[in-house]
Amino acid sequence: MIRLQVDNVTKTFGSLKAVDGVSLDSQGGEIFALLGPNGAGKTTLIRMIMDITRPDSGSVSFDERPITHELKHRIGYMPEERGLYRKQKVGEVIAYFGRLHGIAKDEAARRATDWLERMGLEEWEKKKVEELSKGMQQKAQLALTLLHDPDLVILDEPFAGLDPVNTRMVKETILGLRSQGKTVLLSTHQMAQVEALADRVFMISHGQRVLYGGLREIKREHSEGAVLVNEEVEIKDHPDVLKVQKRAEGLLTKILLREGVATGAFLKSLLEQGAPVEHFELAETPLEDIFVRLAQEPAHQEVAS
Amino acid sequence: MKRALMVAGREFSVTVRRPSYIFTAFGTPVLFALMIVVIGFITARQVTKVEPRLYAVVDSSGVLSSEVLARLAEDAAANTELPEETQQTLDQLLGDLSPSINTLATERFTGFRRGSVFLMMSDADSAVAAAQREEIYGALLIAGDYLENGRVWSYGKARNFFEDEGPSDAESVLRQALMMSLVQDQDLSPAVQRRLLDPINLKQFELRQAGETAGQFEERGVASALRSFAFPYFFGLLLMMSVFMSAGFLLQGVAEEKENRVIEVLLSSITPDDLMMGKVLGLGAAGLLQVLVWLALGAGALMATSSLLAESLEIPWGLFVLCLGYFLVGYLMIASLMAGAGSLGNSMRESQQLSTWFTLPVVVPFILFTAIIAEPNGILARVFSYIPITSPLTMMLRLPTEQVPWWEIPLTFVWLAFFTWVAIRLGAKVFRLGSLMYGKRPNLPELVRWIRQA
Repeated sequence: MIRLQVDNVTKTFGSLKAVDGVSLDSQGGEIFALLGPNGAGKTTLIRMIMDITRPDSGSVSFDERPITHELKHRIGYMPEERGLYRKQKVGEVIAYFGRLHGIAKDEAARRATDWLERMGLEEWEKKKVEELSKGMQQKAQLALTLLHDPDLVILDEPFAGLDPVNTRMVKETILGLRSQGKTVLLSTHQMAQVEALADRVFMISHGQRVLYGGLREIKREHSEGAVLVNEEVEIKDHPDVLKVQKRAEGLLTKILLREGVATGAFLKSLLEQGAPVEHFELAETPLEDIFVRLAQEPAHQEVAS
Repeated sequence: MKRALMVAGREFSVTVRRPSYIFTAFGTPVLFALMIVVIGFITARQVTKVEPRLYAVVDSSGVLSSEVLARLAEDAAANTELPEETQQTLDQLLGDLSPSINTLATERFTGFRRGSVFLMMSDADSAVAAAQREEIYGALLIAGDYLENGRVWSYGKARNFFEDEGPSDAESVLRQALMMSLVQDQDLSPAVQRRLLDPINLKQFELRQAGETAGQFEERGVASALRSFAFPYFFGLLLMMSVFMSAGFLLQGVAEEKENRVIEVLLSSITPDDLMMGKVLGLGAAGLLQVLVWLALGAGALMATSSLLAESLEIPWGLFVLCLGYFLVGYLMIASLMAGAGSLGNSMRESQQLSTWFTLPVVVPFILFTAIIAEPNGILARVFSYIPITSPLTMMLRLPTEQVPWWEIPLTFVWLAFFTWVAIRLGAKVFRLGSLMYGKRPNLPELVRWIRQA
């Protein structure tokens, strides 16, 4: 387990504030989704966590200590653009990066073989990187990222370009990391994967933090004002209701509530009216909708925390 | 440092296994050798290709002794054998001579160098007329008052400056014949005659200023020439070639890593300093190996063909070690600066342009080679010795002259070592920033600000 704390970091490039006073804290043993529209400052934030770029102000610490070179060997980083030496053999490249992280030569070679096998790439170990397909390269890169058994794994778009079989394989690998108590910082645009995997979510837009917290809580917070009930429930001129969306037969009816109406109170009033309520649930806004709404908002206001 | 060596190991092993590297290391010398063989073949053909020429010689002074001419012709005939073809043409030329010339020519001396034939004639006008008709190649007229003013007229075809030296060749034969004839008339002993013709057989001895034989005289010869020129040339060339070779690999590597973003993964496992150092060392070793392969092949070929050079190739080890020291320090410094500059480019081409700022000054002392050697303690040589980029090569050129004050050696070394350290720090800083930067290249003020911040 490793604790990652980012405290009020800011990074400016020329006149552009790429990252503006951002903080986050991860205790470890979780999957942490890092969201944000293109150009929002995600990569800069990741680079500052990796100590590749230094923040102008603020600090990044691991287990309450500033990053040292030795600490970097406890981090595994897979950048968005895949970087492998194209002319070299797959196994060699992976073992080389393992050695740079301080793993002995033989052990690195052994682990490279292991990981390639786990990724279903055992036949490609002796082939050149450039012979691999895009998806294979991606899996090889993941193997490279995890070879030195890091405590913090930063994955930038690990699902891009993968078929469903490989997507599942990568997903299972990520879940496996969490069960080992590792922290996975997952940066992706695939909201479905975030909903399926993430424990907590962090969103950055215009360099600022606009969303931060547990996935469930966030969805709940952003979903207030709508409930789903079984289709038999009929609503007529209820003072709390803004709009009723009847949907196809057999589906739940969506009821949009007026602002400030508590869902509990609304349920109570329904029951008091004698409505045949068999099903009542909070209508969760898909994460994608939350993302789109926040991404379109202008800068300089933190929406939730 | 351990990681820098790992990087160096990878860079070295990957580079030397590249087909382009193997081709350059072994293919270039083969190509070069082929070129030499072809050029040699062509030149050899040109040398053996003798064009027979007829000259009319009119001696109005009566100085020229036909005995001497006959002896010269005999010697020439004994030393050079005319190819069959040439002999035939010559015979044909002589056979084709118009009767007037044929009858006028009193004597013939054949077999001089380049197959020229001297026709002794008594009438200057008909000799010149024959040259004008191009029946003969040239006419050489010795003035009647030759003894007073040494005047000789030469009539011949106009020729361009670099064309073969047919006429002057004939003139030099005439010069020798005249000298011998003059000496012969003086009733001198053969020994005195020989000395008059060749008065000095010079042997030079030089007082050595440094080295094992300091304070002693040593004969000036191939060894001393080798010492004063071969060594500086050897190391200077080695430095420049290594720098250019490794620079190419370095820039290619940096540009590639930047393009496919391997750099981000690399920098998440090692420091930029280690990465840059590893690259500089590994690629430097690859560049050095390549140059050594060339030199070994070249030296092998040289020794196989010329045993004289092999025998006189006595290596002054003290100088060797000093040059090696300057070489290593110089390489480290230049390569570090280049790695930094190269990392700022977005493409191989841009990187190359940027690194020219450092490769160009390296060559400057080589261009001013003669000026530095001529005055090893002059202002130019001294100034260049303390400009870091030009210092290694300048010192390499100055040292063999043995006139450099001893204290300049440690001084330049300390100064260079310091600047090399600065260059490595600076190069690594720029490298760290440059290798992660894409898009617009920073201008100089921006760069300075960055370096301060980093």
